[in-house]
Amino acid sequence: MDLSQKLRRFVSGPEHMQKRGQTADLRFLGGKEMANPFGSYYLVEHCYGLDYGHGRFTLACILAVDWDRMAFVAKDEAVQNIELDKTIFLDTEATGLSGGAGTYVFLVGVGFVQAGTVIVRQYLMRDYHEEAAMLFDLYQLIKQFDAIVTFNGKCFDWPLLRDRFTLARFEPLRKNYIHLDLLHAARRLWRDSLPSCSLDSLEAFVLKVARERDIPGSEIPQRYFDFIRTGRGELLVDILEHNQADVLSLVTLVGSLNLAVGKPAVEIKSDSLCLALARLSIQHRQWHRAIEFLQRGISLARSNKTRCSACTQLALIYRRLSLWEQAEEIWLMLAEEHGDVQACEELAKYYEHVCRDFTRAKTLAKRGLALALAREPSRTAAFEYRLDRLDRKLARLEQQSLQVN
Amino acid sequence: MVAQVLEQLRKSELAKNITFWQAVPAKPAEYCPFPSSLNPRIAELLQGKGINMLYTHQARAFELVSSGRDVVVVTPTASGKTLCYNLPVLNHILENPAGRALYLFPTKALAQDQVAELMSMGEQLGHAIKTYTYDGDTASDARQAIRSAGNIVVTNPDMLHSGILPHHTKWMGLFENLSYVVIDELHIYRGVFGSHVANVIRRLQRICRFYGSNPVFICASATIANPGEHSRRLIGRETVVIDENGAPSGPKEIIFYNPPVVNQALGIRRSALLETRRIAEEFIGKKIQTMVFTRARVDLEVLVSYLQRSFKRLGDLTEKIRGYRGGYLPKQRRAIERELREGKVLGVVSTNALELGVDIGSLQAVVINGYPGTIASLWQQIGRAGRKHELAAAVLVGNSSPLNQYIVNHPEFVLGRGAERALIDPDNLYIILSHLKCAAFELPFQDGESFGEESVAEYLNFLVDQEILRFVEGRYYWMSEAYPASDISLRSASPDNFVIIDITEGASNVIGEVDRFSAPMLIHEGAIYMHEGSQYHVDELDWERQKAYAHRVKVDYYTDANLDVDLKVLSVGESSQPEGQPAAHAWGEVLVTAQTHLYKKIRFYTHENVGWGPISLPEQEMHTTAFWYAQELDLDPSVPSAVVQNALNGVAHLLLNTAPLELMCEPGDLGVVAQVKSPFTQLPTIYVYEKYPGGVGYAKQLFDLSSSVLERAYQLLMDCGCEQGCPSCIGPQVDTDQAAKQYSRLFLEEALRHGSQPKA
Repeated sequence: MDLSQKLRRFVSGPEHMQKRGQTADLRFLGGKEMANPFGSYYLVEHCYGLDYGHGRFTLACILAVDWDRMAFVAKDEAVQNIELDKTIFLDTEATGLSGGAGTYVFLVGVGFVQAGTVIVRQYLMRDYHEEAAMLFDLYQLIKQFDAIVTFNGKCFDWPLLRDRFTLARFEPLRKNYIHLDLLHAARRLWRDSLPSCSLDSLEAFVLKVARERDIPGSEIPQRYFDFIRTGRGELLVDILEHNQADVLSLVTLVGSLNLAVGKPAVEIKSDSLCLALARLSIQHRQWHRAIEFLQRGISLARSNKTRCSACTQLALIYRRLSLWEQAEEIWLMLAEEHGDVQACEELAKYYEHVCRDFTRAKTLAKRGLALALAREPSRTAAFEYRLDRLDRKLARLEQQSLQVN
Repeated sequence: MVAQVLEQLRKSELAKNITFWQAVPAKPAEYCPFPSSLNPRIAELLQGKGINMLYTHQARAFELVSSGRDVVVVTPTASGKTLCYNLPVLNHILENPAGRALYLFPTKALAQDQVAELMSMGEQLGHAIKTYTYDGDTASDARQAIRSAGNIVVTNPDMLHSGILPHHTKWMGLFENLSYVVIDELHIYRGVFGSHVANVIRRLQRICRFYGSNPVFICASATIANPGEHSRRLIGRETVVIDENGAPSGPKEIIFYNPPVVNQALGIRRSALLETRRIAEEFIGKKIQTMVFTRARVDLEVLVSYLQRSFKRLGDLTEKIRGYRGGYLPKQRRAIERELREGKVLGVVSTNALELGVDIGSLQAVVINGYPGTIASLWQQIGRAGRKHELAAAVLVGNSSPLNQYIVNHPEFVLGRGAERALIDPDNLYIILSHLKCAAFELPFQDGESFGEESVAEYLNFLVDQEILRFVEGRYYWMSEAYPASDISLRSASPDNFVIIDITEGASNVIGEVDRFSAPMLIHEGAIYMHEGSQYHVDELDWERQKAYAHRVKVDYYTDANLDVDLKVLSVGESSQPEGQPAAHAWGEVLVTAQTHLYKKIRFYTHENVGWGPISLPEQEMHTTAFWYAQELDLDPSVPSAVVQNALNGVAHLLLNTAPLELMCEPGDLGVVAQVKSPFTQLPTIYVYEKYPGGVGYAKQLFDLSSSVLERAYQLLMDCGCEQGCPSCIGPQVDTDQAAKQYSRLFLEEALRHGSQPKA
């Protein structure tokens, strides 16, 4: 029994007839074959006027972007320095999600603004041997830009693409690209208002992009394998459209983030967006901006929980700014109306250390202890400790006053 | 002190159970001056530790490795083996700060030990050398630094296989500058595990070629019979064997002890565990630092508590008896190792975890509860006893298994040959196919590219047919969404195992694994599964999901499934059948099919049949390799064939239990079938087949050594004092059959007569 027979007999598995496809006819995809010293590949290019509508935004929204705002939501100062004509929007389609050297990028869609238009180019390898040629032209293009915009590209597209460049033995890209990953930015803003922050969900709720016959991302690798095996170009139509729509969504997503971040607090209609912006402002230590968003958030709050959480944060900012009376007002409200344990603790601290009114501090600490016993037993020890100390301080005061008398 | 204990032993009533006693004289050290190319900073560092010269083997390794030769160092425990690889590696990195090295250890614990030592040496050399471990426990934020900056990356083959090679682009800095690969404990990489690791190394070398490096391999091994051959098979290159040991050793006495028979008819001996305890107490009671080795965890815990109890009366000694095994926390293990070195611990009971290169210094006495399974292990364990000057003692206590009985009665086997051969078959059909997938994932294969010695075009074309690879323009590309390394375990005894889950009182712990082939026999519904001395009743066997659910019970019976194993020869690899001879030994490829129909419940001790149940599970089929021996048995035709079957079963049992002496494997890696009239040979035939699909070379090795295997089986049979066959020789005889032992003997005598004839 020879090796082939053994393999066929003992290592089971469906046997397929490799259908050797002829060179696929892709003319109807509207692209052309490109050639370079590494071989050939296929390139599709589309040109969009800035007035092109993609969902509720036109592409022109990208022109109005204030990159300081994007830096704010991206939590990355480098983003301030983005220049639109040095920026490339990038989305890849890969043969799998696992990563590693055997995950190939077979299609890369890029977009950039040039002479008043948005150009979308799609680099496609029609079979594995075209990878190097496809990557090489892409690599040359990317070298002309300074900034990259992706959706989840920090974890997926960009490292994967760099791996492919490494495997193709290109010189490592030395440039320190500014990388704006919109997934993280979108999550910071809309995490609590949307069911999910996937691109699908953002398109549905924020960008209002309706995709007519979209292929689910999970089916893309198998579809591509089917294409290579059969050479039937029509299998690729959905993937190319999907990828193109993704690139355009990257453009309008930047525009919509810019709008959302740029709105004055009074114009915002969503409580969770207010809270998200407040959170970001706090992280950037922009206290007064945070106060505006929190106050707006409190007035819009659709639940007690949201309101209390916004109040707690607001009081903490007041405390940090030593605006004690404003802080006290909120804590008292929280303690009295909501039986808030933390508010009791903050008040006790405030009376003890700022007002040096130990009796009032003791009342609040007792109140806090009672609440903690009922609701948050893990916090009881802190109150007991505080009460002990307050008792000692009170006793000392009494002694001092006795001596004075 | 040791001499005193030995003197007492010699005079005591235990002396009559000693089957072997040998004094090994002291051996002086053989030194060499520091090589001239050794960096003065390293020389200074060594001098700081009181090392002013190297042992001869260390110096030789340094010279050979520095001149670019691949080497394998084979010297005993505690002979300064680690310097053999650390010196050339550190020397190279000091001169070439970009230089990188990869260290492979079989376990995480060993890797940790090495890193501690290398880090402290690196620090003393002025932080010039950065050493990191990279394994499953490495924090993800530390990984980036290790990839880009670690001069020495210490890992294990599993991590290399599933975490590093598939992501080689992230390790470009390592692979472009890789100068050395260190593989310690080479002897552990044998059998199925070794065959996998050999393929991982092929993949490593392929990646190195891609990045333009060609590292030197430095291997180190415990004593095995074939270090040169084994390392060549494992790394695919010729190596220089360095086996002259320059380290000194003090005088040592080696003693084999066989517990006395307490039941002649059944061949039952006094418990080896209790005898081990008794002997260990003699040493510890005299405040002699003693290490007790035992195989099973459960025995370890029992021995620890026995010894602690024995010394309670001696006051504070209790604290000085400790256990040590793989399952202990690293911190706890480090503490025990330190206390051992400092002499604070007087007795330690260990599994083979301390047999490997853990630095605990040497002890004065070692007591071994049962043959550890391989001669290499036995020597490693004996090697733990030995001080530079004082007398040391090592005592092996045999148990009643056939293998143990053979060893204690034939010390010349252990001492004469030193060690057995480590076998691997990197070209096992199933193993190589798995790794070709991983390799194709890592880099496309070129048409005509080799992987190991054989051409792999046929495998690659098969994978193309399976639509796992794509062949285009002269290359084979990975065409699947899957990450192949995650589906392939290097250590699993079988590609797809069944797990046994304990569901007693709502728990759900995995307590064991059995291979697919044995599952119908061991974990069918209604089976009593034995695990660490407890009985479990199998409630449900989920064949699809490969899980058996069992709960703990206490019953007075065990279950025995009737496994109908059929074996069909597919092709003959080699055969010795002389022209016109009615006997032959051979090896070849076979198809083993097994079907279980029913099981019996058998009461302990009395062996009464107390019930039965049906088993309806699919027939198992496995393609593997087997060794077989066939010959005419000249018996009166009136002898019923059931008796002949029993006799052949007995011989099969003997072969199964002595074969591991030649193969460095476990009896569980092999299976046997005895046929009164084999359809293939038309003769009474005994087959020994490999339980791993495709086999890893055991069958062929048995064929090459068949006459000594038969000889040993015969010796074991003749040594056994039982009357009609017992578990220590021809196996349990359920239906006591007086003739079984006698006919087994007849068969073997006949076989040996034929075996002495020259091979055709």
